[in-house]
Amino acid sequence: MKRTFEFIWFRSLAEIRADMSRGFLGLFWWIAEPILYMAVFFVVFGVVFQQRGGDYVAFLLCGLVVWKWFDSTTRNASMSITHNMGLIYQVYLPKVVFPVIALVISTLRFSFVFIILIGFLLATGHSVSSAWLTDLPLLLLLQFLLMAGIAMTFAAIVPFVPDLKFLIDNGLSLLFFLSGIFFRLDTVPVALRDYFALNPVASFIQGYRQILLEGQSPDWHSLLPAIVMCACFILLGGLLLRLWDRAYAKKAFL
Amino acid sequence: MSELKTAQRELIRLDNVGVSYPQRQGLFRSSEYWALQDISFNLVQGETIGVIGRNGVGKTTLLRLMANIISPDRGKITSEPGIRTVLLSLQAGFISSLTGRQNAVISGITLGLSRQQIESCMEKVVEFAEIGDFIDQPVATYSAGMRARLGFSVAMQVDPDVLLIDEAISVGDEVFRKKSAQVIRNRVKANETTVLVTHNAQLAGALCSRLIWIEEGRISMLGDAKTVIAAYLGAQA
Repeated sequence: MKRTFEFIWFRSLAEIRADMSRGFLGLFWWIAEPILYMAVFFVVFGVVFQQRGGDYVAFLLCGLVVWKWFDSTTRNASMSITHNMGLIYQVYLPKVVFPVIALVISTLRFSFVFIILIGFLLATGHSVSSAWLTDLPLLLLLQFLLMAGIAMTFAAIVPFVPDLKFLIDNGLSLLFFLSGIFFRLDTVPVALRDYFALNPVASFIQGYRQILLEGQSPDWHSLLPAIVMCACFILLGGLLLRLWDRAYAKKAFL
Repeated sequence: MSELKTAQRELIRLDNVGVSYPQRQGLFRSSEYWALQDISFNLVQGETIGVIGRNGVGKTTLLRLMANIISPDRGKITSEPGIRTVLLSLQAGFISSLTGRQNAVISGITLGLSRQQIESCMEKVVEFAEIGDFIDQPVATYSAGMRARLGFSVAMQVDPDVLLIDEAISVGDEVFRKKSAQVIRNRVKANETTVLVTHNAQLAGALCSRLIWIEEGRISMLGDAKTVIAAYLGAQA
């Protein structure tokens, strides 16, 4: 058990280090890349279209930072077992380590960016409220657990159904536009609101905005679907990975 | 008394073990291909057992099975609780943009060592791999031989209860062949348990006490090295 944790931690650090050493300005790009990504949206919506006043940039960044965490975890984790087949043929490792490593890497990266976001919010006149200290860690933990479940589930299934990758990629694109990154959920037509309420990412983003921008507790009631999905995905993913633990090394990958 | 007991310690036992691989035939149809069938033998502490046979008869599958990488579809494998069985793998988990030293740590942890263990024998690793100052250069800059030597010397630090060696991974690598033969000789001397898969009958005969000859996924013959080699070479001719 201790050994598994040690493997996860060192493998995550090694992959981050490898990622950094590839570029000329490794460490710089590792942090700058997500910031540039946010800057694109800042320029388009904040500067070019001048959407709805000054606070729209903070509103947008809240959504984007959280989205990027979800998006990169899901993408990387879903391919994690497939990409590590060479290792899986050589050594026995509990397969759960691979999606967890993807999750750890994207979470470490997210925490840097999140700190920068907090700095930006403080610099633009938002102040720390009690919700930052009580509700925020809970919300972050909930999102982390949901992503862990999704990561395990997709990582388990994709090696057997590689076609699923296309669905995941396009599903993420769809979710990107439907998760309320650019708009407030209460501007959605009433007839569609029930469907939007089922999207955990939309509820998360709304929750982060309530905490960070309005200094209020999020509407935990609206996060109920996310909590249920979190439990389902963790159970399903954990079960599948345990069930197929030794099946991956039998599969020939083309 | 305990001497007597350990002399006959059975580390791994296979009873009528079979392994099948799924073969896809259409969108929803698949059939099974039995790579191994009815394999039964035991591995006793201190012995070196060889597995011989032509290409594609299931030798590598047998090693993966014993290393617990795959599980049997029929029969059962019992191993003594707590023993460590490791398939000698070169460069397991190497990341080529990292340095040799960083890779040695990662590879060691991947193979089941703790961080302290691998770091404490780092000097031995560097020395055995014969790569000198290159240890702090990215592995991507290494020659194939240097990579193989580093991988090998990391794997050597693991020192498991049962070491599984697949000679097929040495194809075209003289260094690996020589060093692995040397390691097996040392293990034979030290009374450590080893399984060697090879299609080199001479090598198997020189190193192993018992041999298993596999043909089409089944044990064709199992016995002392001389008898099996004579029969195996006779069948080839």
